[in-house]
Amino acid sequence: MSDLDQSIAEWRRRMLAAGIKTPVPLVELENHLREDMDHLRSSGMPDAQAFEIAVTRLGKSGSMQTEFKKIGRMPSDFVGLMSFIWIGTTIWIALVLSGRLLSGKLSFLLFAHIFSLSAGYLTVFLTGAFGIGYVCCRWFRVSSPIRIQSLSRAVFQFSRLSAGLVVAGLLLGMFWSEENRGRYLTGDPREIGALCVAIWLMAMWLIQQFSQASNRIIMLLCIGGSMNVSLAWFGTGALAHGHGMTTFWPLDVLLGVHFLFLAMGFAPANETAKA
Amino acid sequence: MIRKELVAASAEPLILSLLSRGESYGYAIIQEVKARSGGKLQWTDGMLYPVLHRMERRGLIKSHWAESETGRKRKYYSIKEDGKRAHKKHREQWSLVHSVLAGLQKEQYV
Repeated sequence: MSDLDQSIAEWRRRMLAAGIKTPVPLVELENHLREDMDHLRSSGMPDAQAFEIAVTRLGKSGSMQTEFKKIGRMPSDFVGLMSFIWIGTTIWIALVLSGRLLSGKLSFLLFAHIFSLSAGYLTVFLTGAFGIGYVCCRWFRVSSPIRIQSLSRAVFQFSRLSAGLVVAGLLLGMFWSEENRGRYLTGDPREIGALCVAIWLMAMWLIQQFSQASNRIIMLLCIGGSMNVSLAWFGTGALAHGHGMTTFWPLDVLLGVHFLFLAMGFAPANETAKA
Repeated sequence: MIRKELVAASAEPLILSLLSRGESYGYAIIQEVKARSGGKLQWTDGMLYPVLHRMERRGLIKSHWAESETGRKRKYYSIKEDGKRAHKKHREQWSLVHSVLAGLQKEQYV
């Protein structure tokens, strides 16, 4: 082993001792060190001096480790958990509907309509949960730009998906209605509910795409979207089963919880994150 | 030499700005910033990597390993859509600060 390789091996040991243990940063730092040394040596500098200068330029291992530690753990635990629940529920809906399709209780068009709309509604609930997560982060002072960024990214992607699914579900429902009832729109409360949700989601998509709305506004709109779906899905379902919207208590509880988080989101207190 | 607070604050916009021109790797980013600032804007080389990793974690940039012309493996970074949006925001904010400072300076000489 040459002197230079020994020096680099010693530098690696110092880095590992300082706590830079993850392989990626250390390999990257070593590559940087070697690039800088190559550059210095190409101008005629002796190996030992090039090594010393490159190590000094790279900086102290302790301060580097402090900076790496600030990156911290993945903030997407909550996003990951909620997405996992969402995937599980979507698969469950698909399986239940497939059973009904195979037994001939549903036509393929009706199956596609119910699945698209249910998956779309579920996705809106997911973005609502992200909105509630954001409000909690802000309220309990556990916000960090990385956590907020992770939630915003998830909301951006899932709200586009939900808009696509709901619009597709609505269109499929209209085709089914035309085929079976002779009209694209029949004025059914569930149909009107789906239309309201689709309009809400399209408006949200436009806001996300073309306006400079803050994360806070987007997250509160997600909670609003979730309330909208509660009414469109369970509210109209309650009406169809002869309940009044105000006498169906699970819906009241669901809306109450949403209102609570919406109010917390509007409150100016405990603002710590870069919203 | 530029104060370290300003160097730290400008790191992210500068990295995004450089990466918006095409993918690059740590050593080249540092050399480019050094050259463009005439050596006045100097990062401690090792401090660039935690910043790059944090930006990657936030979804602003992405990376991949590739072999350099010398056969050594390099980690190349490139900008993502979120990064482009953040870059635009940074540019607006820094332009605003610049225009306020320029306006105040102009007033001093009127």
